[in-house]
Amino acid sequence: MTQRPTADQRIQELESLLEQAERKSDILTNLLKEASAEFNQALDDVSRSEANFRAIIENAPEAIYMFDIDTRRILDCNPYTTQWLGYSRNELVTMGVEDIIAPASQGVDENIRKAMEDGIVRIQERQFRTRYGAIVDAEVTGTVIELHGKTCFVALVRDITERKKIESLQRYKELFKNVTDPVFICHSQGAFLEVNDVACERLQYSHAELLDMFFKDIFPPGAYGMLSRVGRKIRSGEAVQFESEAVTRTGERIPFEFHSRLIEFQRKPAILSVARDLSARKRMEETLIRTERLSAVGEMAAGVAHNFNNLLQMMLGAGEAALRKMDAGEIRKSREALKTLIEACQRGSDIVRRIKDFTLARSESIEAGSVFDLGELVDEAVQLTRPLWSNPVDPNKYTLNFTRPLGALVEGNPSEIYEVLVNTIKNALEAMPDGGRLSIMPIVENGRVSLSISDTGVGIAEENLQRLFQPFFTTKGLKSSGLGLSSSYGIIRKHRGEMTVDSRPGQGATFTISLPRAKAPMASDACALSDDPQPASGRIRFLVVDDEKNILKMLELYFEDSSIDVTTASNAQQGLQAIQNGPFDLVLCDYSMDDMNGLVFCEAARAQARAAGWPEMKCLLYTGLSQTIDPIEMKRRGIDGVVRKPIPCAKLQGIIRQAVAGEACQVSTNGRGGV
Amino acid sequence: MLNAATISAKGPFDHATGLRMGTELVRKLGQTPTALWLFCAPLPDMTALITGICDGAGCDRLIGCTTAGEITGEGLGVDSAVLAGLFSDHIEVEIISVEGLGADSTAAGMRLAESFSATPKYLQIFSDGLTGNGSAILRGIAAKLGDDVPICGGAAGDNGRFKRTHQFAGGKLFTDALCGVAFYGDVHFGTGVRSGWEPIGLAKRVTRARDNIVYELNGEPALDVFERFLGHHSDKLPAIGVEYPLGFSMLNPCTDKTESLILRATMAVDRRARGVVFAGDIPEGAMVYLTCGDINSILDAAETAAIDARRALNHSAPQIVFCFSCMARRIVLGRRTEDGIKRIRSQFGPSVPLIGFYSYGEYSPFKLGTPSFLHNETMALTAMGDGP
Repeated sequence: MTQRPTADQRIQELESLLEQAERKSDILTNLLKEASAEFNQALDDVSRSEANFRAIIENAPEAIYMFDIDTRRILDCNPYTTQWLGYSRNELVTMGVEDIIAPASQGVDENIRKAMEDGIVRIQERQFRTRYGAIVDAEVTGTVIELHGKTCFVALVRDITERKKIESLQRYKELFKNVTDPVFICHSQGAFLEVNDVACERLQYSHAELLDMFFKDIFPPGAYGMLSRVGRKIRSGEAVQFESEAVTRTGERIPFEFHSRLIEFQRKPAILSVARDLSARKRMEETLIRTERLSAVGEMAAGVAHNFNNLLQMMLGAGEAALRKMDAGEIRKSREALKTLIEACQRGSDIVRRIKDFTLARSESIEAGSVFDLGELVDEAVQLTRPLWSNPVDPNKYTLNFTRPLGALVEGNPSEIYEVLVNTIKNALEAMPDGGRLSIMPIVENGRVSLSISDTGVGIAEENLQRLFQPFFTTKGLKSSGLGLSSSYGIIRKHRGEMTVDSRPGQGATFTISLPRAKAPMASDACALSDDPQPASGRIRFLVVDDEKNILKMLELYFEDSSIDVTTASNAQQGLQAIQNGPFDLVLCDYSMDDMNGLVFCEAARAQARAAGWPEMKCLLYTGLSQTIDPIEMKRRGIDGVVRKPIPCAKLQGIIRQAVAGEACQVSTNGRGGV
Repeated sequence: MLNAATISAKGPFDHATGLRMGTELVRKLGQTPTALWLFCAPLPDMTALITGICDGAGCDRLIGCTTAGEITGEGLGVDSAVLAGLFSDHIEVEIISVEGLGADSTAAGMRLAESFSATPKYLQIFSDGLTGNGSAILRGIAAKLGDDVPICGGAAGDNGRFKRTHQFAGGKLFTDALCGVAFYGDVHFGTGVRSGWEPIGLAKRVTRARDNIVYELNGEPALDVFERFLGHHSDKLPAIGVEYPLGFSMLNPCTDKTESLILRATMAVDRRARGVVFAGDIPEGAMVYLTCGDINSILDAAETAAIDARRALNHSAPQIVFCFSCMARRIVLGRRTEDGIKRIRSQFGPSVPLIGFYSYGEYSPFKLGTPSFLHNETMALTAMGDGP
C-alpha cells in the first residue's frame, strides 16, 4: 500500500509542514498575547486584591501581627497594633513577642506548639502589656504560615477591655442586686441614678421615688454641711468613709456608715455609696459604754456616798438649826438655815442628775445643747472621781494639781462633756497604778477653751498613739471595751472641738481637750423662771396625784398662799374622784404609783373629764425615775410633758403657769428630758 | 482458541469484490469466522459489497461502518475496504443495531443496550458520526448496563465530506444508526487511548454551553475567543479546529478523581450565536484549554496507546488489534500517517492482524474498570487475545 513519495510529494509535504509550523507559530503567539494579557489582568487583580488585603489589614480594628516562631521576633504588624500597644512599627519589629505579652502570661510555648500541629490556635484570653506598662485584656487567635522560608505565627488580637468592663458591670449589677447593704449611685450633683432594693427597703421609699430624689434628701438637715465636704473629697477622687444618720420616709433615723467613691456609671462620672447600717453596732457600743459607765459609777460609789453624806449632814444640820432658831423666834436666822438646806438639796439633785446623765445615751447633735461653765463641770468631775484619787489608806499615792478655769463657757451637752472629763481623769489615774501626779490645767485664749489632763504614768507606746481613738482599741485587755476614748473623741469632735494626746513611754501622757469658747447666753435666751412667785393673772385649778404623802403635804403648804388652788390625791382612785367632782386646769400625776401608773391615770382622767363635761385640761407626769418614756405612748395617752423630781417648788409653779398657758418651755414633751 | 485474519480491497465496490474478500478471509482464517468487521470508504454499491462478503465468508454476523480512511497492518487505505474475521470457540458475539440516532442519541444508546441478551464483557459500537451525539450514546448505554462495561469503537466517517455516513450490522446497511457487537464468554482484551495533544495557553471556564455547542468562555462569546486565538487563521474554522481542539478534564464519578484530558475537535461554527460546535459534549463549568500537537507527539501517543493496550491484555497473546483513530491525526500527520500504524505494529509484532479506521470520534475508557468516553484526536486501541 505504501509508496515511496515523489520529489513533488515531498516538497508538498514540506510545504504543508511549513504551513502547519507557521500556523502553530501564529496561534502560539496569539495565545502568548492572550496569556500575557490575562497575566497582566491577573497581576492587576492580584495588585487590587493585595491592595484590598492591605486595606483590610491597615484598617482592621484589631491588632494583627506576625512573628517568627523560631526567634519569636515580631516581623510585621498593622497600625492598630502600634496604636494599641503604644509602640511604633519600627520599635515593634525589633522586639520579641514576649515583650508585649504580660509577664504573668503562661502557655505561650504550648500554644505555639499546638498551632504548629493543628495550624490554628483556638480563641483564648491573654493579657498584653503596653508601652506604658498598662495591662490590657485581649482575645487571641492565629494561624501558622510559611513566609520567605520562615515559619511564622500570625496573631489576631482583639482588645476585650470594654467587654470585660461590661462583664464586670454585669457582675457588679449582680452584686448590686444581691448585696445586703443599701447601695446608692448618684450623679456628681447628688441626684440618685440607681439604688438597690435594700436601699428602698431600709429607707421605705419605692425605687421610682428614690430616683426622683437627691442624696441629701435622705439625711437630716444638719448633715448638709458635712455632705458638701464629703462630696468635694469624693469628686477629687478620694474614697471617703463617713458616719451619718439617714432619715426614712416615716422620719425614723438610722445610723449608717457610708463608703463612697467616684465610679463611672453609664459612661459618666458618678458616686457609689455603700451604706452599712450601724444600728446594731451602735446599740452594742451604747450597751458597752453604758456598762462601762455603770462600772465606773460603781467604782466611784464611795465618792458619791461621801458627797451625799456631806450633803445630808448639811441638810440635817441646817434643818435642825432652822427648827431651833424658829423655836427661838429668830426668823431671819431660821430662814438662812433653810436656804442652806435648800442649797444642799439642789446640790444633791445636781449630783444625782450628773450620775444619771453619765449612764444615759447621748444625743447625736449639740443643737439642743446649752451654754455652760466648763470649770464647774471639771470641778464636779474631780469631786466625782475623788474616791479614785483620794484613798484614805494611802493619801499620798496621788497628787492632784487642779486649776479651775474661769470664764470657760462652752456650748453643748454638759452631760457628754462631763462623761469625757470623768473618763479622761479615770484613764489618767489608771495609767499610774503606783501613784503619781494628776494635773488638770485650763487655758482660755483665742476663742477656745483648752483643758489638759496629764499624768506621770507609764505613757503610751508610739505604735499605739495612732490607734488610740479607734473604736475597740484598748491596752487594758478584757477589763476595757476599748470604746471609752473613741467615744470621748467622738463627743469632742461633735462639739467642734479637738482631742489630742501627747505621750512618751515611761513619761506619762497629756490629753488635751480644746473646745470653742461660747458667749454667755442673753437673758432672753434662757427660759427665765423666777424663784419668786409672780402675781397670778388668774387662779389655776391644780390637781396633784402622788402616793408620797409628804410631797403632797409640801406642795399644799407651798401653794396655799398662791394663786394656784391645789387639790391632792394620794392614789389614782382619789385622783379620778377629784376630777369627777370638779374641773381642773392641770393635773400632775406621779408616774409610778401602786394602783395605776401615771400614763394610764392621765388617759383615764381625760376620759373622766370629758365624760363629766369639763373643759380640756393639761396633764403632766411627775417622776423621779431616769428612764425614758415613749413619746408616742405619751401622745396617745394625752400627756403634755414630764416634770423630773426633784424640782424646786418655785420652778414647778412656773411650769404650771406655762403649761396652762400652752407654752412648752422647760416641760419635756419627748419623754426624755424634762425639768 | 482465538484466531483472526484481515483482508483489504480497493474500490469500486461490487458483489464480486465482496465475494472474493469473504472467500479469501475464510481461506486465511482456515474456518468460518465467528464475526466479521468491515470498514470501508463511502463508495457506491456498499450493499453489494457486504452481501458478497457475507456470501463469501458464509457468515452474516458482520459489523462496521464507513470511514475517513481505512487502517490495516499495511497502513492507510484510501477508497478501500478492510475486512477482519475472528474465530473463537470460547467467545460469543451478538450484533445489534438501532436506528434514529439523530433524534435521540441517549435513547438509541439505551435501546441498543436493552437489546443485548446479557451484559457484555466488552462492547464495540459504531455510530453515525454526523447525526449522533457520542457522549449521549454512552450515557444511554451506561444507564442500562452501568459504567463498568468497556465500550470501544468509533463514529463513522465519510472521507471528510461531512455529508452522510453508513453503519453495517448483520449484513445490512444503515445510516443515522448505532450498531454494536457484544462479546461474551472468555474474552481477553486490553485497551489504550492517547492523543499526543497537550494544553497550551491559559484555561478558560465554559460559562455557557448546551450539549456539544459552546457559546461562552469566561463570559465571552466562544467564537470570539477562538478567532482571537487563531488570528488570521480563523477563516479556516471549523476545519482548523481538528489541529487545535479544546481539551478538558472529566471527573470520574466512581473515583471522584479527574481523568485524563478529553479532547474535542471543532465540527462547525454558529456565527449568529457566536458559538462553536464540537464533536462531542463539553459540560458547562468545565475548565478548557486550547491544545496542540505535533507529528512526533502524535506518533509517540499512538505507540504509547499500543503499549497501554498490550499491558492491559496482561499475559494473553494478542490475536487482533482494532484501531480507531481520529481523522484529525491523519490530517496532522499527512504523509507520516502510516508511521503511526507502524509504531503500533512495532508493539504487537508484524503477525498480529490490525484493522480499524479513521473516525469522527473514538470510544474508549482511559483504562479498564473506569467509564468509557467519547474522544476526539485520539488513537483508541483494543487488543484482543487468546487466554494465557
